[in-house]
Amino acid sequence: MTVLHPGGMLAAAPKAVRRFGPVNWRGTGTVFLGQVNGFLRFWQVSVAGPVLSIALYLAVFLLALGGQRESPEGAALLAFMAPGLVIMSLLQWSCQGITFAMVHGKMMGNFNDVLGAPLTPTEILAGYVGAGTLAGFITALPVLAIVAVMAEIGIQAPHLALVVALLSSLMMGGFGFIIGILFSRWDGVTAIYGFIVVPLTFLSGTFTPIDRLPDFAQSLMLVNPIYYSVDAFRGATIGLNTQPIWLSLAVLAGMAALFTAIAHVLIDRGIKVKH
Amino acid sequence: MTTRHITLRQPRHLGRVNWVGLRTLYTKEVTRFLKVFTQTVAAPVVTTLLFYTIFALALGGIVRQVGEVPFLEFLAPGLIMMSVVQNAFANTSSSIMIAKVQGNIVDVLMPPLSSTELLVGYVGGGISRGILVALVTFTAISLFVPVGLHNIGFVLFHAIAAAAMLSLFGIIGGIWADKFDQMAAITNFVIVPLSFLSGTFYSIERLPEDWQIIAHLNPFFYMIDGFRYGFIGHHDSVLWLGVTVMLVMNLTLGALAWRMLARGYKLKA
Repeated sequence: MTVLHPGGMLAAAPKAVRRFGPVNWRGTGTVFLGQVNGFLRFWQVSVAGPVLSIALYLAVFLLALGGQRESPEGAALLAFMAPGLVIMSLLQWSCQGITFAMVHGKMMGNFNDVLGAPLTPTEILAGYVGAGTLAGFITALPVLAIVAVMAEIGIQAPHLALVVALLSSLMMGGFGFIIGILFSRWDGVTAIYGFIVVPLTFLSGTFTPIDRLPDFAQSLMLVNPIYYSVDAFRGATIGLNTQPIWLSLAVLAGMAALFTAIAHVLIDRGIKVKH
Repeated sequence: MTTRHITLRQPRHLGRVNWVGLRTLYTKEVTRFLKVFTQTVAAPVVTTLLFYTIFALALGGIVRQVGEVPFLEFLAPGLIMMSVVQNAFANTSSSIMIAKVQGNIVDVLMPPLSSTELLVGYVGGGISRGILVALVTFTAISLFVPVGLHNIGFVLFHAIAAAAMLSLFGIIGGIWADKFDQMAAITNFVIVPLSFLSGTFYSIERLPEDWQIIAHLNPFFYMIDGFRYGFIGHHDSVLWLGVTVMLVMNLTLGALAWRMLARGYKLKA
């Protein structure tokens, strides 16, 4: 409520300080919703664009296969690629969404609004990574629908698929947060994405079984965490995994924990964001 | 007491063409992208090579040949052309877009440069980036796959004509768009689909008949077809038709872009 002071100035009546328990739920929720809003506002870029590009990849593969599409080999190839394409779009957006929002906020100066609010490092991290995960899912679900129709696949183990998707999203969300903290300029960010994230995503065994690769490429693939994500998701959807599921889940959980821990240390110390 | 004489500099006289201004604009356009070459040259090259690797890995086992030509040799020219197209477009569109948003577009509009000179300067920058990316990609691919040369004339004509056409597209898009997401929408929904569905990855003879007709309506098809002919001597369409389409597209888009610049559409209040 507002009162009119004798001087004629409008002033807010002193509001009681909002109290909160160990967790500032409203603050965390605000960070989360702010990010989700930002993501959805640019839906042409963040949802429609990725969905269309995955549909294009598939269309092009279908056309390039030509007459071979009906052959068992061709059909197997499509079914093989489909889960990887879903995971690729999931990972890409749970990661990029966070980085872009943070770098943009840092450049515009409104990242300070997040730092200045009564939020613990854990709450900031949870808000951002939660929003990134949701962003990844929003992009990946339509892709899953397209892929399921075009490549004619279903999901054999929905719960496992969800767990794999969630762990992968957390892993990439943590990574995206780290990049968002460490870089303040676009050329650094695009370099990381162009030379590390995109190659790792594309060379993750989405397009070809690992045993068809030369030896050195196989060992490279085995140290790429995204490979485990694609492999486990393929196991959950079409039941065709090369690595044991528990190993993939362990790798993903481990990487998610590692990235989140690093991200937590960075935001806690305020590296590159608090001066 | 000595008198100090001040000699006023005479205004520079321009002939028919403001060469100094034109050269300055061109240099600015090239310097702009070279300054961030990791973003503008290296990253596109890496992406193209990734595409090449993926298609080689995924389809190499099943699709061995397209007509008489090994699949990998068929694929290389198309991918190179795709990178020309996307980078030429990105260069002019982002240059104008950023200048509009930051407000320094006046520095380009104020100097005594005619619309033709503006057009030539911007298109020159776009062509340079497209060709540079193509050269680097070509060199990288030829390390792995022997890429033959059938007719250098077609290679050069289509590379330059395609880069020019997409640079013009970029100018038109850059002038028209008010926000970055509109620009991204043009890239995502027009440029990328047209370049993907242009016969880079398959010979359009394989398409069902209705789709063949649609594919022939895509100007990107002709640039890739003619460019590929220059390398491997295989073509899907009539060659002179491709050349004609490219020339007509360039003239039409050039006229449109020129008119937008001359009338100051969305540029001059």
